Amino acid sequence: MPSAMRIEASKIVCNSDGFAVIGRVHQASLLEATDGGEVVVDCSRLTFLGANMCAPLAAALAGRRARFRNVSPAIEAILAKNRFINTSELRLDTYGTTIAYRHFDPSQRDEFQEYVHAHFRGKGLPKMTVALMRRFRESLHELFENAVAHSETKLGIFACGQYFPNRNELHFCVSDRGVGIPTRVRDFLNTPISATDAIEWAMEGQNTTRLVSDGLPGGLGLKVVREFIAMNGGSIRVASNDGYWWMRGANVLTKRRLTPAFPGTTVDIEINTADTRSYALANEIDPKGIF
Amino acid sequence: MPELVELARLVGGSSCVSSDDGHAVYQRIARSLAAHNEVVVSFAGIEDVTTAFLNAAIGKLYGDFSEDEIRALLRVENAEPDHLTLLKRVVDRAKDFFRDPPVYEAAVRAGIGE
Repeated sequence: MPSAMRIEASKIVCNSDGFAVIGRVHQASLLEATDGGEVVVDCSRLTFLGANMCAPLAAALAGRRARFRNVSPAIEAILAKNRFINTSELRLDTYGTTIAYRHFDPSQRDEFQEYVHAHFRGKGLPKMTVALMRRFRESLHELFENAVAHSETKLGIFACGQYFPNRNELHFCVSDRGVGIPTRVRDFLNTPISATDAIEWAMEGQNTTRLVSDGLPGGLGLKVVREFIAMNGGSIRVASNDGYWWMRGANVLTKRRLTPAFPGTTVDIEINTADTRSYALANEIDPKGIF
Repeated sequence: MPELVELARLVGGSSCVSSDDGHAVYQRIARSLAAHNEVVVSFAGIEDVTTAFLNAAIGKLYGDFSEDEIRALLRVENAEPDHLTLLKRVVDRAKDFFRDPPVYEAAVRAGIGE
């Protein structure tokens, strides 16, 4: 029977401390079990777990069979509602605030589309203008495609979200267990830049690690997401390898070294759902002048 | 008579978001351009569009065809202003990307890719 590893923190929220806790869980899981082995995660000290953090937590434990014990009733209720854990008792999402946890193989693009469709189209949560909802959906697809194209993950992509109607906030996390943005950027630039500088590089300008020999241009997806979040006044948090980067509105607020490192990349976006701007772009483009 | 590529039909819905779907669209367009046939890409019924899709569907064409060929043979119709804005960014990026690969890659590596 495997020994239990205890989460030595009372909270896992979406910030650098939260990702450091998850990094420690990952490190401990490597010591506890080999690939495919079982790890028991003792949550007796944990009093709060942000529902969207289920995605990076699952990424950190990917490749192991994780069993959680001593989970507080409040956390268990959240994890059961968003389907992160199975319980015998059916928990309904009475308030319509849960965006279920899901794991996807990189090839499951259609499944990810269905998942986004199920949560963010037509009836259901949350209340947003049509234009905002559309930009949000497009952002989720950009993040998923970015993970598929660049992460080289063999353990999949993990998604989860949470809506806070009283704060008009919608959070969504996309995590992968890939090589990480810093590793990829350092390889491309052949320069030992810091993890946070590498993340910033990936978020800016025309920067892309795609080679012309790949035959496919790229490098716009994260920038488009960043521009949308800046307009909306929301936030983007990126944890990748040993870097943590946080932007709110148009301002980068935090660039911090993560210790221990996050095993892959998580991008969390948060939007202000009460935003009513049209998101129409200022300059109309003449279709005849595009090419 | 130009070939009509109806995106909604090709992707089976209103979302042009995955690079896989983009690749399927690219193959349709590239086949016609290679035969010097005109192509009209219809965005009718399309809502969500990503750069990942547009890069694969249209940006990639600039690696195989000249700007003059694409300009002469390719048109879009029924696209919303936002779709056109995104497409224009993708096209401009693709032109830079393929125009002079060593110069482009050196510029990105030097951090002057704006």
